[in-house]
Amino acid sequence: MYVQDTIVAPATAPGQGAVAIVRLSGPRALAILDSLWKPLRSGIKPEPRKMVLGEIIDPATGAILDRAIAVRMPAPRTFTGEDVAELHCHGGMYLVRRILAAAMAAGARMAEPGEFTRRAFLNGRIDLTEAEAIADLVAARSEGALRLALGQMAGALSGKIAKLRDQLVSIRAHLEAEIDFADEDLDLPSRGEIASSIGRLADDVAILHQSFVVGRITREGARAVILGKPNVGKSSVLNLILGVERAIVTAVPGTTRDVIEDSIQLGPLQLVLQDTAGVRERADEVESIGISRTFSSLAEADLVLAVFDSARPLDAEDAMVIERCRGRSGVALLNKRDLPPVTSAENLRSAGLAMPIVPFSALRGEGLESLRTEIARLVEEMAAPGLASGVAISRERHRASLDRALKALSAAQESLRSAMPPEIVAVDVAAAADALGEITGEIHREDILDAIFREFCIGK
Amino acid sequence: MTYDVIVVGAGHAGIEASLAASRMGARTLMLTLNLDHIGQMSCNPAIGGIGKGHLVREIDALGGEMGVAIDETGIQFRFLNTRKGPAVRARRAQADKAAYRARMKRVLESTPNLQIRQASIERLIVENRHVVGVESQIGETFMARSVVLTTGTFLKGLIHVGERNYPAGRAGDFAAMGLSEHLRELGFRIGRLKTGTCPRLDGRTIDYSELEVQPGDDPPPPFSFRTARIEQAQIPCHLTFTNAETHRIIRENIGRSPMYSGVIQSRGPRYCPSVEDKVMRFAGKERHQIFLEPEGRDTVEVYPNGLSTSLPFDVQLAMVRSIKGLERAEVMRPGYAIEYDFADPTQLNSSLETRLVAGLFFAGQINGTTGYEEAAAQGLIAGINAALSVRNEPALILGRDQAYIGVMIDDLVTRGIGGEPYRMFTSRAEYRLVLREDNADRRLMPIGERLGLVGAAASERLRRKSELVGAEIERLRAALVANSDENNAILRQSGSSPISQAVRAIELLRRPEISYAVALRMAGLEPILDFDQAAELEIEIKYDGYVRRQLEAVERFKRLEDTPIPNWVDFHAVQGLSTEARERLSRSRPRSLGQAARMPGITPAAVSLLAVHLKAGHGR
Repeated sequence: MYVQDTIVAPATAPGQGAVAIVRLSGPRALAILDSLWKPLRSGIKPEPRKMVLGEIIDPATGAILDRAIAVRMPAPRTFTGEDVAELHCHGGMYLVRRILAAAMAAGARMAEPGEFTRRAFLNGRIDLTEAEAIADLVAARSEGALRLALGQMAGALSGKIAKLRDQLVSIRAHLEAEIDFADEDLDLPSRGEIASSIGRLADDVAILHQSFVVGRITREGARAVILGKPNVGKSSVLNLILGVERAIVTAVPGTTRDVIEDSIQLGPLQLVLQDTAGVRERADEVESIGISRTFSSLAEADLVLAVFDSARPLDAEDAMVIERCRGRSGVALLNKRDLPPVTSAENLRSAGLAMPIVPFSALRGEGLESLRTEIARLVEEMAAPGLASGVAISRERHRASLDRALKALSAAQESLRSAMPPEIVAVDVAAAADALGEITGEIHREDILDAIFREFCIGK
Repeated sequence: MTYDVIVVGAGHAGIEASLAASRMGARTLMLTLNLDHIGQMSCNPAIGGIGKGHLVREIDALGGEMGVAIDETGIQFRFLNTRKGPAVRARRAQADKAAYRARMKRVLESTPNLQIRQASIERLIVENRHVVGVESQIGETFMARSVVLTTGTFLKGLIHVGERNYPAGRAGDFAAMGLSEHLRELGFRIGRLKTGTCPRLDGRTIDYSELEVQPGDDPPPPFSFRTARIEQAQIPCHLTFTNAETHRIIRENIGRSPMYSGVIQSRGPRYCPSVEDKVMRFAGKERHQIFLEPEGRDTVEVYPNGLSTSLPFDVQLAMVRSIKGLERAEVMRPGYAIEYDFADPTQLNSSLETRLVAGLFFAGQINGTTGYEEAAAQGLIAGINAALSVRNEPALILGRDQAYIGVMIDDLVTRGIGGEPYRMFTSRAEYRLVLREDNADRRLMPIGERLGLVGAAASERLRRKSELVGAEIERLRAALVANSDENNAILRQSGSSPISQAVRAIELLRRPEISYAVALRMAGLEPILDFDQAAELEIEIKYDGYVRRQLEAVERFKRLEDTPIPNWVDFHAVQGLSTEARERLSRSRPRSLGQAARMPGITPAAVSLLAVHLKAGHGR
């Protein structure tokens, strides 16, 4: 008979630290701990979930490796659902390696990345969204991402989905009661009422679906693309915002031929800045590839930073840039205000630009504070709903499931409108339930019967 | 002598089990506590209903007896859900209880290979975890190669009326006191359930004059694919209601109900509550409907459907007499609640054979179900599989995509009953659009024929039906509906938009609100299809896209369902499974990945691990 093996890994970051934690999980976790570690006061039986001081002894040599605290956590109420043991020893890479070696000599195996979380998921200690949240938490790049991940881990997404699920169960209960208890004297909602509850549910699903953008912004950062005709100073703007010489700045138009990307921390969020090749009417072959890349990163960007030259009159290329900014969220920079002004904010407005305009001088570093404030305001505006509720989907998998749920719900509404019988409407409502179930868990048929019996007096 | 199959019990499950086994050539013995109560309807005098009617049609398509018997003896026949789509329409019939019993006894007595004996069975004879016979209360032994237990509510049955209770299988019959204890000794998990029934009224003391009449359909729809026409006259039912006074009487005496005083602990079905339960739980509802159903042609007894109760008799009488039309009614038999033992059905394989004792099958209420139709369907499958096991042939297991019977048995053996008696609902079937009353023959008759339970004439009818429906679709494709005032008036009447030019009849039939009959009338054609054939045609034309989607879902379902979990699989050896999942799987031994996925407590992740394990062929 094959038994699930016992894994070991350092639970703290590698490197020098005051304390390092080594964690064991699996059926032999407690036995391996006992072979490595003895309490200082001999003869006492260490209580579960209590920190007890003792000594780590190398079983091979009998040498005392360290004085350390041990915690025993018997299954099933542990992170992984298995027996778990932790050793809190003094920090130090060499010491941790010795302890790991001793644990492995006693029968443990080095854990693969994420294996503790995987076991927790497989043992039903956490659901899929929580498992993903733990992965996000580990990889969180900013405070906003951290907050979102923490929210998801605490079950915010599961809770939200559970609410949608309850709405769906109630809708299905009404449809099913109409079919299965047709000869009962039930006070059932009308088709119109069912249609409007499906509509309300679809609205809620749509909001969650839209939160994907917010989820991605908080998880991966907002993407801002710097756009402008050649030689308006886009790369200087990038360098100024980043505070480093990231892009090569020359006076020759078209120096930046590829998309340059870097990121900074802006308030609670990450901002990913992309410098692009300038937008020009006639370009050589290499440059036109660059320009087409500019447009594709523009399509994926959350924000546009449009740069204009205040020392030159607006031309056809500027008009192309303004055209691309239509309907987009972003900030316009009227650069080179260190030079005598030719183009004003009013000129940009009358040319059709709707974005807020910040007078700027990349050379002197003027306008940087206003720009930062403006960007921070825009990003927070976009991310606000997700950050405030703590619920936003951040995974493509979630978005695809919600997408299917939305399609099924609109098909159900369509069936109701065209007077289809309830069992046909129920097909799409069930499909929506399956799609939502993919995110956290299934809806069983018993749930629907429970809802029917709770709500209606059945039994003539 | 040694029989091939012994069936213990002669209720709806026992009858189908005995007939199926003996008709398949197995030497069969049916044992019952009381030869005069074969096929007794212990509760309401009706067969069918939504979900249940589907079961009867399936029983019939597999060569069972219930459909033919109710067609011959029924007193009223109706279609339910006629205003919904064709997938959830169902038949329901009022029964003549005595005629039904006599009809069933006659068939049993005239079936070759079948003997019938009165005996009270107290023990099974088991050797090496294989059943070899049964032993009666008076020490007789009957030997057999397989045994089907269909004990109904008789296992330690305890009847409650108010503060009083006494052991009984149902009112007027002894309980089987020893058998469930014996099953416990054999290692079975035994639980307890509760159900109830109504008082019976003297029809001569009911004043029907002010009550709403509930007539049968004309023409009466038969259950059986073998019945051409229902010839006998129909008897109407009547409808009355409880009122504020009824509810006051119930509320004032609720403390005397064994359900509310705490005498009865076990749970009853939520879909079949007592009248006191309805009044207490849904206090806002001002009245509850009571259907007055005659119990037969040659009796005055009337079943007041909706008045199930276990209140003391004086309260029952006062309650009855508070109801319109029943002011002077005499109660002929009191209503009561009954508690009984059942065996947790997750101890069964999908064939209904127990995993603990080979050759032993359970069917009906012993498995925690309720309803004559649910019992009969399980009895049929258990009888078939008992006969097949004697011949060492593989068991008949119907899939969830094949039959309501398959859905029910899979629910029972995979998920169990979840605390209350299990009843069929159409919402339990995920492929409802393809599991219909009208196509039960198409789905199951070939199986019945293969088993030798359905004759060649039936399959010839099935072939002709397909041809007829096909031809009618062609006729509708060709026929034109003229843009006339008359036709547009018909369209408006049906809630449909008028036409501005002539269209094909089939196009109008695509509209959900236009029926086969209406489409033909507008095209000036005479209908040639009967109700079921028309249903099949409408489904095919109106809901084609939905049916196709469901068939695709069936294909996806089958991929998991057709991945068997072979006997060599040791669930304790599957890497990554939780201890709980391992124990559940080892205990229930699902036969396929699909069945494992439906088990409570088995996560999609666990199914993936199992799939990996199977692919790797560990432990082979």
